Amino acid sequence: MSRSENPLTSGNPTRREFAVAAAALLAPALGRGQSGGLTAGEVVDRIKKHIGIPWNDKTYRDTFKIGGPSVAVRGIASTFMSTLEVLQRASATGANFVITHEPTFWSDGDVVTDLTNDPLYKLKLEFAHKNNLVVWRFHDHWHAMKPDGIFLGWNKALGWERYLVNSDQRMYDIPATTLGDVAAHVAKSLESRSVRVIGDPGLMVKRVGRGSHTLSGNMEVLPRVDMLLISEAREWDSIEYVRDTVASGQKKGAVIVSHEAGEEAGMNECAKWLRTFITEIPIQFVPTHDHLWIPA
Amino acid sequence: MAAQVTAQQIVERIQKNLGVPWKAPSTDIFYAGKPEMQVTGIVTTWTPSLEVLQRAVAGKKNLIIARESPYWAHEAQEAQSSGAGRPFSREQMGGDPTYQFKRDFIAKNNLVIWRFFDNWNARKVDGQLHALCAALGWDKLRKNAGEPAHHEYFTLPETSLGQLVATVQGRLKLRAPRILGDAGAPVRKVAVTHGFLLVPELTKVLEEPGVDVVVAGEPVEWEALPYFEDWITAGKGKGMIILGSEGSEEPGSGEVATWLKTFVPEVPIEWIPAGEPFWVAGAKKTTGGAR
Repeated sequence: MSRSENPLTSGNPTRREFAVAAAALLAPALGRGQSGGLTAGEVVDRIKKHIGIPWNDKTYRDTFKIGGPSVAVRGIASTFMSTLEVLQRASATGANFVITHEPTFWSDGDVVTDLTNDPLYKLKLEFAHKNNLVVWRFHDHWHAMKPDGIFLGWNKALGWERYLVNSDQRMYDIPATTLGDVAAHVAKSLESRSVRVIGDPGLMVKRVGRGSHTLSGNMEVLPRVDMLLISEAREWDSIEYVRDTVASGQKKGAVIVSHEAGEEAGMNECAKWLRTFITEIPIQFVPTHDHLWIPA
Repeated sequence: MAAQVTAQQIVERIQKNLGVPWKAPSTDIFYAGKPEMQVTGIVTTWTPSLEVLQRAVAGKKNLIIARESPYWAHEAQEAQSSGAGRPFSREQMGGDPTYQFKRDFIAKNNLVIWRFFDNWNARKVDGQLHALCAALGWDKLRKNAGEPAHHEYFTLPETSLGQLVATVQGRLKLRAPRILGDAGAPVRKVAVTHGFLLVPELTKVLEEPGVDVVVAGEPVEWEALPYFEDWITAGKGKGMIILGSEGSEEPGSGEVATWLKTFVPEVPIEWIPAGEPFWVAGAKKTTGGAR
C-alpha cells in the first residue's frame, strides 16, 4: 500500500487488537542473552529512534504479527511480504526476525479472528513457532520517512533518481521514449514477467507520474503527466479511468506492475538503512519475487 | 415503428422477471440519462467504457445496462480495506478532463446508463459464473448447476498448468491473464470463480479437497493472491489463473443480454464486450480494446 492512504492517520483499534492477539499466541520462548545480541523489541526501538519522524503509536500496521519484542534476534530479514516461502528462506539462512512491508495473514489489518481454524493460518503459524520466528510489519513509517523508503528503492531500481522532478518522488522527466519502451525497461529493472500496458505502446512519453492503488490518487496525477506507472490498482476504477482517458483522445497511457514489483526494492533499501545503525547481527534482504507471469 | 418502451419500463420488467424479491437500495440505479427516455436499443456490457458507448451510439442503441459504473468509482460504497479506496464522488471528479469528456459524450448522445449488479447477483443461479463456465467450454461438466454457489469445480483430463492456461486464454481470447504457479505442474481439478476475489470466498473455494487450480478475476495482491501463493508453497495447490475483472465478468454481460431478450421483444439487444483493457509489455499490436 502506499503513502496516499494516509497511514499515519488511519489507526484502527479493532484491527490492532486482533493483531496483538495473534502475536500473543506465540509468546516468546526465548529472551535475550545470546551472545550479547539484541531482542526484537530493541531492534524496533532503534528503528523508532532513527526514523526521523514521530512514531505513531496508533498504527495497526507497524506492529508485531508473530512473536513479540523479547525474542533474541539471530538475524534480520527485510522483505516486501512475509509469505510462507519468505519465512522458510529467511529461517534457512539463520534469520529469525522478519521485517515485512506487507501483511502476514492476508489482510491489511492482519485480522486473524476468522482464520483460527484455517489450515494455512495454522501451518504458517506453526512453522514460525517451530523456528522461533518473529514477524514485525514496517509499512506506515517506512513510507512516511523523508524520503519515502519504498520510493527511494523504487527510484534506484529504475535508475530514475536523476529524473525526479523537483524532488517530487512521484514524478519524473525521462528522456523522451515510447510507452512500450518504458514498459520493457520497468519489466527488466524490476525483474517482473507480469507488466501490463494500457494505451498505444508507440506513444511518445516524457513526463511519468507514479500512480496509486486508488482512483483518486490516479486522477490526481494522470492529467499532469504523459503516463502513469502504477503498482496494483483496482481494475473497475483506476484501470478503466486510464482506458477512457486514452479513448477520449488524450495522448496518455499507463504501465501497471504488480504490487510486489512496485515495492520490493524499497525493502532492499530498508536492509541497507538498518545496517547503518544495527551492527551486532546480520541483516539481509530476502526478495519476495514477483511470481506472476503472463503467457507468451 | 416499433412499440415504444422507456428505460424505466425496461427496469420494471427486469424487476418483475428477476425471480427473487427486488433489493433496494442497491447499486442498481440510473447513473446517467433520464428514466423516461424512449429506448432505441439496449447494450449490455461489463463496464460502460467510452469505447462501448461510442459503439452503442454507432449502433443506434441508447440504453446501456452495465455491471460497473460509467464514472469508475463505486460511488455509494463504503471504504474498504481491500483496495477499493475511499468513495470518490463526481463532485470531486468535476475538473477532470476525462470525466468531462465522458459526461459530455453521454449527454450529447442522450444515453441512459443503468447499473445491474446487486440484483443480478441475487438471482438463484449465478449468471456470471454460468456464463464464464460456458465460455470456458466446461458448462456440460458442471456438477452444481442450479445451486446458488459463486464458484464451481471441474475435474479435467490431466494436463499441465501451462497447457490449461493456453486453453483458457484461447477460449476467453485474453491477451494478458496473469498466472501464479509452475507451468509444468500437473493439474486436474479446477475451481472457477469470477470478479473481485477476497480471502473469505477463496478459503470457501479451497474447502473442497484436491483443487489444483483456481481461476479468478481480480484477487487483491495483499489478500487472496498471497493466500494462494502460500497455499502453493504449502504444497496444497498448483496454480492460479487470473483473468482480470473484465475477462472473468464479461461473459456474464452476454448472459444478461440473452436473458433480456426473453422478455423485451420491442427493441434490439446487443452485448458489446468492453474487451480486456491491457496489453502485455512488448506487444506489437497497439490499438483497440473491445473484442
